[in-house]
Amino acid sequence: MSMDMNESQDRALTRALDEYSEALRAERPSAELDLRLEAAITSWAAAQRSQRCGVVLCRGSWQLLLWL
Amino acid sequence: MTALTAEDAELVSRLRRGDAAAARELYQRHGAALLRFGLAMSNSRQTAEDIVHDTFIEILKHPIRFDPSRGSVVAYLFGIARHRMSRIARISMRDSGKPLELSEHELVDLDDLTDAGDELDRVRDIERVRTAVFELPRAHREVVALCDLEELPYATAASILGVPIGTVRSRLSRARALLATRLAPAEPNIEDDEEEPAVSRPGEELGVDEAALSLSCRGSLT
Repeated sequence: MSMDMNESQDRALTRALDEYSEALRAERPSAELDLRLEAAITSWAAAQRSQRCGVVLCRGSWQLLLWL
Repeated sequence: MTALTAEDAELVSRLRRGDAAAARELYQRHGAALLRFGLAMSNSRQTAEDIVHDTFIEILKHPIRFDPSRGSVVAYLFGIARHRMSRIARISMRDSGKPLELSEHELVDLDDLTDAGDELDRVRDIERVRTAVFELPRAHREVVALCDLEELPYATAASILGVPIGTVRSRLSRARALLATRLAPAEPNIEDDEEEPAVSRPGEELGVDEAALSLSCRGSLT
């Protein structure tokens, strides 16, 4: 129980917060946010791929130079 | 480490390898919880969604910063969201000279109510709680949002906030005491009623609940 509260106040507050929590749980990210995140993930994944290709190319070039 | 925590950590490992499917799954798992935290903290859907967006951009850019030895992925994500929230509050304070204000956002659409009796009372009760939580000082609002609303363990909340568990407990206790005071039904004051002028003032016709809703935020967000 919280400070300065009796048992019934504490129970009433818990009930009120539970109702608020339940209402919040009905909230979902909007379709707009889903789209923003999807665009960000796609762009990030493409950047990651090109970065990895660059690393592979770079390694390949060094190996070729060493071989020559 | 629980199975879910381990799966989350594995998703972050996959992020380090540029796995887009892992990024999507992480968002599916935690996007809604972060949105709820943003809503409780900011009371604005736009701000809450920006916080969710920025949080995931941050982990996409720097998955390496997540250290499983220091806490769970959930704690890490909420920590980023909290940091973003503080930044937004600081900017609001700097630009407008006042903390974030209670928005018009409603958790329940009044137009959707079929039964205008009990359901309307329930919605009003929720709005009163929403207002009271939003008016708490930020440190207290955080613990209510994390422990009471999101029902995270105290240890996770402590990890997110970077404070000992004892501090989480004491802040929560204080926050609940403040909420109980603010949500307590107003006691009728006979003297005030007798001295009430005949001319009505703006907002006077509102009930207690509506009057509470019309208040702007007095809580410190900085």
